[in-house]
Amino acid sequence: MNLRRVALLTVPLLLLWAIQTEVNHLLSSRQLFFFAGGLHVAFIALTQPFGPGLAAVLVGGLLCDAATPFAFGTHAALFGFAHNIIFRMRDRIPKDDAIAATLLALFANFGLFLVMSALLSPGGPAAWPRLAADLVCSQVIITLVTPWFFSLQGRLLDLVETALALRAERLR
Amino acid sequence: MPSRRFDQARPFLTLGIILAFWLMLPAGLKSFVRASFFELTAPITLAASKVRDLQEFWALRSHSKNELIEAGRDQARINASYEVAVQQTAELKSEIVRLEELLRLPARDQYRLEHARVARRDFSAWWQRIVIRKGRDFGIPAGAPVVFSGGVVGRVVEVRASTAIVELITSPGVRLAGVIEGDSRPISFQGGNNPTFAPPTGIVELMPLDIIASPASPKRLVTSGYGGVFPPGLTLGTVIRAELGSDGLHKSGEVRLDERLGSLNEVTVLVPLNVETALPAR
Repeated sequence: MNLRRVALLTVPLLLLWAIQTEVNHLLSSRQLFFFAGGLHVAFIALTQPFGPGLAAVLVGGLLCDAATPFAFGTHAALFGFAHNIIFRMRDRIPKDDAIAATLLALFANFGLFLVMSALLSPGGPAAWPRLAADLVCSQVIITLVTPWFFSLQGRLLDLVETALALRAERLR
Repeated sequence: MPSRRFDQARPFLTLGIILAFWLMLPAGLKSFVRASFFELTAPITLAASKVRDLQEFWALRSHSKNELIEAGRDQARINASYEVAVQQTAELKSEIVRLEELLRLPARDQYRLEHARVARRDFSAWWQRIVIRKGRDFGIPAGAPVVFSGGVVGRVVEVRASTAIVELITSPGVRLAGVIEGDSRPISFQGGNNPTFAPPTGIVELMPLDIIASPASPKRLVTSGYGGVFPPGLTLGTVIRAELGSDGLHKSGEVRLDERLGSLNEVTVLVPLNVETALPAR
């Protein structure tokens, strides 16, 4: 497995995690929550080879798991599963279309949020209005940031790969 | 055809093998990996928190000198009232010690106050937690109660090298014993749902039938001190509704919690002076 690629794919996920925690810190006074699971998975599953992509998604999931009260590995397993589903159908999704990418991230996020809510079942039907508010908030933010985040991940990979190719050529 | 089917299933098979391997790992190793991932992200959390502090510092610097003088004057007045309260507290404490000696009662738990900045708030429908900027480096133990000026915040659930995670009383899974102020009968408090754009709420159960509470005449709910980590008398919230429960023997109701819990910046950890006896073994 290409460990350099795994590391390259993990760095934007770390940045996304940091942004997510800051946004949640700011939203906490309004009792809102931003869940960005779909964004962790969508770009990597859509464009990257299977092995490094799955490894990066699992590492991203473990990062999210580290400070949560639930079984360590819950996010990682769910992200891995979502990655595999998108990976299987990625031939039918246009890779360079921002709208398709945003819709994919939204669907992935919606699915992950529902599964998380079903697994963690916070308080029965009484919790549904809060869960709905959190979901709407998450989907709105994801709609806004997906094009930027996809472009960031793509540009970072391009930059590093170009720099490495140039260095290899110079050494030759 | 079978080989094509296998190719399609291969991603899921790979993930299944990884998950099976993960499930078989010893709990100690998983705990170590969890701590490692947490410590990997801790510098980011701490740096973001310090940047926010700096931002606040520069915002405060923009205040005029007149505003600062007025704030200083108000602070001096508050300090004067607190001075009197401190003297009265010292007097009452010495009275308690005298009575304990006279009646040969066991001494109450003593606490050291450790003030800490909140590095991160993480409030979802699934969990309600904060990360504070003090951990093992300041001797914070797991299980220690955490309070603020409005009452109980929660309990330390995980302690790391320079941070600690506090589970708030607003978390849906938190349960503790409380009493209505002026009453000695314990009632069960549970963190409830936290509606958006509204103060957090909790649930009380097993409340005696003679307690009447409504939005017009709310009752203050405080910690009972029975069997838990919290000392008695700390504010939990206000009971604003009490109705006959499904068993017909007790009442259940709704507790309104302090809305400042959603925007905490500074909390105080009550570190027991004798950790072994004050906190349950974890």
